[in-house]
Amino acid sequence: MPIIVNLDIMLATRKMRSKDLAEKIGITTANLSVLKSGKAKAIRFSTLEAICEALDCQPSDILEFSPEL
Amino acid sequence: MRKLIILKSIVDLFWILSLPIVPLILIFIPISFITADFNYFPFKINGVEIETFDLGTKIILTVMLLSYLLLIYCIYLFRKILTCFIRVKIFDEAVITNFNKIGNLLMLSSFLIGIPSILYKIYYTENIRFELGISPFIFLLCLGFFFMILSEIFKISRKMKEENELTI
Repeated sequence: MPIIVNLDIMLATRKMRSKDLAEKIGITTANLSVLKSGKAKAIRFSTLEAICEALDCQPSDILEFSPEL
Repeated sequence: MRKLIILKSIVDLFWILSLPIVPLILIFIPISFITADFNYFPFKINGVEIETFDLGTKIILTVMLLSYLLLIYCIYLFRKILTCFIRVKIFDEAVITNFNKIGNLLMLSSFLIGIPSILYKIYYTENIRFELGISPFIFLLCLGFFFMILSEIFKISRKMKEENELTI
């Protein structure tokens, strides 16, 4: 899929663990892992909103479009 | 779920009752070619009683019996699908494959029943009649298409389920 999820980088820059983010946004760590690994087929606006709020960032910081992939 | 169990019981019963017929058919087919005359067995093809037992009639009879074996195999596959449903494996790959297989086999079976019966009527009774209503040929053909469509629907449903599960 040409959409890359940069959640790993965002978590590393904010020194936050996946488990903490999952707890904060109210999803399971398994689902967050699916999102981080790029296996997810879609993301709900509510989830994206919660991630942006928790990480204090914009959707463009998390999602990236790369046509080569 | 109670309806599913009732259906499974009916299909199981039908499967058990039809099982003894399989070896009989498999024994009968070679015997019919060896035996010159066996008028002691009353046979009917689509309501027409067979009186002459020549090679043509025997081939027609064999083809129709083979189609019956295919129908029994379809019941076996349907049992497997119902077992998957009972185990709540609704969108399993086996269900989709078996639905498609049943559809193909029913279509093949409909042609194996339909064409010989038409040929028999043309060659032996020498009269062609047009009958309105549901004939076994049309019924099996429609049922075959229905199962094939069902397989396609299950394939789409499976994809949608996967997408839904991977929506975070």
